Amino acid sequence: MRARYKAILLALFVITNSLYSQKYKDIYPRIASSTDEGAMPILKEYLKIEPDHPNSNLLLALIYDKRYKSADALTEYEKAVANAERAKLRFTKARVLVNEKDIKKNIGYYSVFSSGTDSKGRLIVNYEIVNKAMVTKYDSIVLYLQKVPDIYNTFIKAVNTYDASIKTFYKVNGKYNSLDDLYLLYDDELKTDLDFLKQSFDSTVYYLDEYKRKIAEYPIKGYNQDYTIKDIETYRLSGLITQSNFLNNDIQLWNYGKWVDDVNLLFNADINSLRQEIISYEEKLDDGLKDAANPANFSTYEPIDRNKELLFNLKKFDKNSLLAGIFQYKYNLQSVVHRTHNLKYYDTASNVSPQSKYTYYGEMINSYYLLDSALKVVKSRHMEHNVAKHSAFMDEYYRGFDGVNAYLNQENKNISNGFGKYVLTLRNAIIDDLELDSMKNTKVLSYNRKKIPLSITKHLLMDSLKQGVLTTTHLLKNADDSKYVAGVYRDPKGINNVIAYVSRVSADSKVGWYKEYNIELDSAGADADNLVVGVQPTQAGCAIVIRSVHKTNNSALNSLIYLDEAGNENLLRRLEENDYPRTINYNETTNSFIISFRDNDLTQNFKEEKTTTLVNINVLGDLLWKYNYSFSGTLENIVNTNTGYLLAGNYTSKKDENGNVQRTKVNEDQTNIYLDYISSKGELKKTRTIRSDNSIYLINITKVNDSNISLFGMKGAYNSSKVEKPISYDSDLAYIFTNAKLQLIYTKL
Amino acid sequence: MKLRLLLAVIAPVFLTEVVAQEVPSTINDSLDYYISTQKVVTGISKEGVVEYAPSISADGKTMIFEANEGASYKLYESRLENGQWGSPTPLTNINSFGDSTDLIAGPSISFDGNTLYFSGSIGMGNLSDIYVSNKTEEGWSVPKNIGAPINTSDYEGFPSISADGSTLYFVANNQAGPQDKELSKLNQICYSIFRSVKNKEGKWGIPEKLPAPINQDCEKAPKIMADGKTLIFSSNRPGGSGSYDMYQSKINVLGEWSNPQPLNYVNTDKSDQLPCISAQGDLMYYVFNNQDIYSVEIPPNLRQFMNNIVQGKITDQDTKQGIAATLIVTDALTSKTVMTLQNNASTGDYSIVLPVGRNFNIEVEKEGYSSFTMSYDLRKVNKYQEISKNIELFKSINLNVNINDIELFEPISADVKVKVQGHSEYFSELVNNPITGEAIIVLPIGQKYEVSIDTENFKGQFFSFDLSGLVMYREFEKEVELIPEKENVMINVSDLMNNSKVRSKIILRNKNRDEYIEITGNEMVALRKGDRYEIEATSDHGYAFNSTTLEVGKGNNEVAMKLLKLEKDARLALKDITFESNSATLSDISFTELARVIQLMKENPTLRVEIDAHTDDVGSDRYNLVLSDKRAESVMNYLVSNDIDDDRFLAKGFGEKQPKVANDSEENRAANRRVELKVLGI
Repeated sequence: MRARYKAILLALFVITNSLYSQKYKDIYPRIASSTDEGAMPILKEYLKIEPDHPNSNLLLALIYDKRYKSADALTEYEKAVANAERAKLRFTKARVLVNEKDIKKNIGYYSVFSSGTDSKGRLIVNYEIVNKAMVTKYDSIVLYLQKVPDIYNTFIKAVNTYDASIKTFYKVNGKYNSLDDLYLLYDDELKTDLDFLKQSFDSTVYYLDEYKRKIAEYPIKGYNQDYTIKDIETYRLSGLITQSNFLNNDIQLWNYGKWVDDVNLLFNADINSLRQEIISYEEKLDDGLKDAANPANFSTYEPIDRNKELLFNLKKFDKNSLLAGIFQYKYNLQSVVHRTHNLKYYDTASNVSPQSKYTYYGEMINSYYLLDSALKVVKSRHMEHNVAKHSAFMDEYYRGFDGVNAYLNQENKNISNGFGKYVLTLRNAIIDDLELDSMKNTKVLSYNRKKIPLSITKHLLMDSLKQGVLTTTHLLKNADDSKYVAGVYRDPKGINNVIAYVSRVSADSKVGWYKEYNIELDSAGADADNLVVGVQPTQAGCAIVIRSVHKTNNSALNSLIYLDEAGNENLLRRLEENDYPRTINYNETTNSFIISFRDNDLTQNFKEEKTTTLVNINVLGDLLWKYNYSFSGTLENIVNTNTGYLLAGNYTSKKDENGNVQRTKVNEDQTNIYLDYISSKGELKKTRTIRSDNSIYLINITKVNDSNISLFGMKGAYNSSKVEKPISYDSDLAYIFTNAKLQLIYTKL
Repeated sequence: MKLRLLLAVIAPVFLTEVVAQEVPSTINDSLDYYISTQKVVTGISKEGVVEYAPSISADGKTMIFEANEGASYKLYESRLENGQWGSPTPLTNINSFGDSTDLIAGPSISFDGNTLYFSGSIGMGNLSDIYVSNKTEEGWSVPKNIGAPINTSDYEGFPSISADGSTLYFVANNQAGPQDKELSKLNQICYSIFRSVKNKEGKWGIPEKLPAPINQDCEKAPKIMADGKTLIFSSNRPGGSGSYDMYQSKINVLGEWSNPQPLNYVNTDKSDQLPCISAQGDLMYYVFNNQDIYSVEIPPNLRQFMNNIVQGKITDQDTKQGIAATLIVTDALTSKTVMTLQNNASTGDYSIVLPVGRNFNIEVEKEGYSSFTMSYDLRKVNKYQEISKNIELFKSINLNVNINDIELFEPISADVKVKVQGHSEYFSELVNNPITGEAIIVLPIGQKYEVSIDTENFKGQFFSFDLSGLVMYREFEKEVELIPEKENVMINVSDLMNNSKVRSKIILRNKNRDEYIEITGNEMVALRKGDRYEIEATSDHGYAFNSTTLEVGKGNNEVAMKLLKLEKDARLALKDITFESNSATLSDISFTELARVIQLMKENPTLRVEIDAHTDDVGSDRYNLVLSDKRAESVMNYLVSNDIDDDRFLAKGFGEKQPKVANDSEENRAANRRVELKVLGI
């Protein structure tokens, strides 16, 4: 080992001596002819041989000097400072080594400092100039090394703090889809982020100001930055930036500081007061509900008002607000809870008319329907993030997400029970009354030699009509309990045709008058069967529609006859429509009749497309309007509404509310129920097909008022004879609760 | 001369000795191990074929090299799958450039894998130039000569592109020959290493020859590493293991190349050259003995650079097709742009090589598309990572405009019109959803838009939406709250008999929307133009209620409401009490007025009234009397069912005997069909 070291030392000795023998004058031409980068390794190599060589130290210093000056103080900071330090080192040495003597001796090496040539063409290099240059450059370097690191660090801090701002703002934007979400989900983590964002931005501004001050004192090459600050106007659009280039002279900053201030200001003012208001309203509603539930408060109870301002503010920040939904639900619930106490009255009071009971039951059904709709809204908004928007409140008042779920389930059960109870009560009450109505009145009244039965034959069979025996097909009560009784009998004389009759029966069952109609179609004598197809009492009398069918050629004629209370014929009009008349309604407001026609026989062909025709004729016989439309099915009934008419029947193929044709399995005789709304001006405004997998056909429609309409249907293939049968509790009974807007509030098909 | 030769002999001994002193013996042992890892790359090497000049993609999964399978050297590509290099396939588009005898050699694949530089001698007698080809969906594009100032009439070859794509290293003839006189005597073809830097315009600058100690004798096969600072090249300079050896040098902080260090774990007495290093930085591929591509494990202390690779696809969010975009990598510390890259325009593939130890921001830009940003702080990362990040950019945003009534905060139906700023024609016209108030406007990125919202009887609104700048999110919400136009309406409430003002409460119910206003009587109130209000006046000073309706904006800005003093025999005509035709069944529209009666009865518990029902003259007197009786009873029943004692009512029908007006028209008849309350006592 020792021998190896000796060998190394010997080698070094030999090398050193051999290099020392290399003259600077030999390598200088290479240095002079090289670029700085080319000269650098030669000089460095030579300095290993002669570290104290004046000119090589100076030339090296000059190269380092050029390098640090050309290096970008910001983007090549390390290079700049490293070269400046090397330059400082070499100048320190050069200032010691370079003297007047060396310059004079090696004037060619100092040609860069030459002030010209003398008369003999020799370079003039003044030591003072060289020395001054060395001192000046050295001083510059010292100043550079004193100033630039500070400037650089200040700049870097500005960049870094702004970079942190951008990333924090980006994080916030990524987490909260909207400002409203941000406000309502404001939590400690967000606060920390916002605080950091503001702090970072403020630091950016501070460091940029510092930086500007410092480069004003000590300008750095290529930079004279200034900055402008822009406000953030649109969330998720303004304020976003990938990287602000602080190397540009015009630095644009987004004002994250102001944005944070604005967010905090709004949060502290509006959101905190909103939260207080939420608690207050929740407690009020709960108290109100307790009051409503107390029967002792029935007369004095005043519901808690809808806090529109709170709902406004909630919706403003929370478009699909769970809380707004809950408040709306509870607000609706108040009246339902309160009105439940009325049930006792309707159940027990003896002097309440069926209509009043129906009205109340219907109102309760509608209230529960609205309540159910409100609860559905709440359910649709019951999501984790909606609960999180009011987490403290939800935890305290609803036991969080799961607590809301339990609350909704309980309310759902309550609604279901209440709704079901009132639907059943109404349905059964109507059925009971209809059954009562339809109980056979066996009484037969005599008028002259005619025997007028008060029992009704709803489904008339022509073959069963006997000569001279009156069959009552229509019996309608008046407000004064008098009745109009209409029907047919087969004429025992002549051509054995069917004659229509109508009579008025007083409240005490006395026949006031009796009239017969044996309308002729195309001959001077009787030639047709005359059927009463519609009777409609009015305050002034009674309108009847008679369909006359020719005995031999089956041609038909429809007539409208309007008789007054005394039986005087105010109007007898042959109608233009030859289809089978189905209904006649009276409109007190316009003092006119609406008559419907469809198909051409008593039994409707529900499988083929037919036309429903409506005509509106006033009491003078003037046609006010006429409307017709086609589909496959039947027309069973028409009821008046406040603004028009509701047509109900069965369909096998019909356009639905969306214009799509709905078809039943017609080959299996399947029908479903439809509703059409015709305005008082005779325009089809709305339609509703009530689809079911089963075959269902309408057997009764009972209108209490526009928001309380019951449809009764029968399951099974369409049977026109059953349509006329009285309804009763039946396992095959279908029930629909609807309104004049054709909303299906309840369906049991 | 003698001394120099002596130095040449002694220096390696000296250096070796120094290394031997500084490096622990364990490293020495392991150096032997690493030398032992040299092996031919199976899967690529073919018998009788020279594989040469490998270049590896930044993700380390694609190697492109030259081989002389045919008449001349051409380029081949191999993929690394399951740790094995697959069978090479020729780069047809590039190899077919020129004819079969033309030399296609020295490939250098860019770090994003989308650009390939190589040297080629195309055409008879032409010396090598440097060419470039880009990856397309169909393969590599037809090569282009990169031209002056890099290419000259002389030889240029073996390019090596830096990670940021800004600097190209290559070799050109060393006209002066090697400095070493012994080498000089050999009269070999001799090259030097040059470097060209792209200027701001994206053009290559005038090449500069790298100074000593890089260029010394004959140097070739420069490979700039991913850090942009480490250069590995081959040189035949004295002191090597024999023939061409590989050396590694690094630019120091001063901007100077360090003394090239021979890579002793790989250098042999044969020619060792043309290195490339795997993405992980632990494996070097190189050409051994001008024959085959070898690999060798790099000793840990010489693994001077380590990369992280971010790669994925840039696609259109809607079409899912790749799109060409620009990736700008900036130094988060200084905000200086480190590199600007283009991804593959056809496939959308991108790959960014980020050296560890720095903090980067990456922005993805594409004109007419959204932007995307990501940050990678690799200052504390000390391992190789492949980061997958697929980026979806979109061309248009969805602006969800919620149009609401500023006072009621209810949705309003409105016309929404959009135009590009400065344009006269509307870009889009739509109507919002009246139920939700929402209108979704699809706006292409890159323009400033003006959106106007108008609806009847509301003040229109206008806002601009600037999508000409940076867009990073697709969904935007804009709340628009329209201000209703209002008219002041004076509501005077006075005593029916003496016309004196009555202190009263006025409730205004908007029939068009959910608006409820409560004021005191004889006040001015601002009501919404075009809306219909039901106005109800009540007074707790012994008066009955009154109600009326008003359609605002029809020129009637004063409502006079007369209140009936509740005193014996006073008559209050109820409004809108209607019944089913020829029936005593109340229509549901009657319930509003009846609710007022209930309230009146509750507020005046001593009030007793007679409910008088009247008919028109249709029908007989007798019949109408009965009907009106029943209608009066029906009203009474309703009131009683609402918890008002029945002994406070008397129901009475008057038939047609007391018409208000002559029964000479349907309108007049309707007026005569009415219900009134007559005060019996209070």
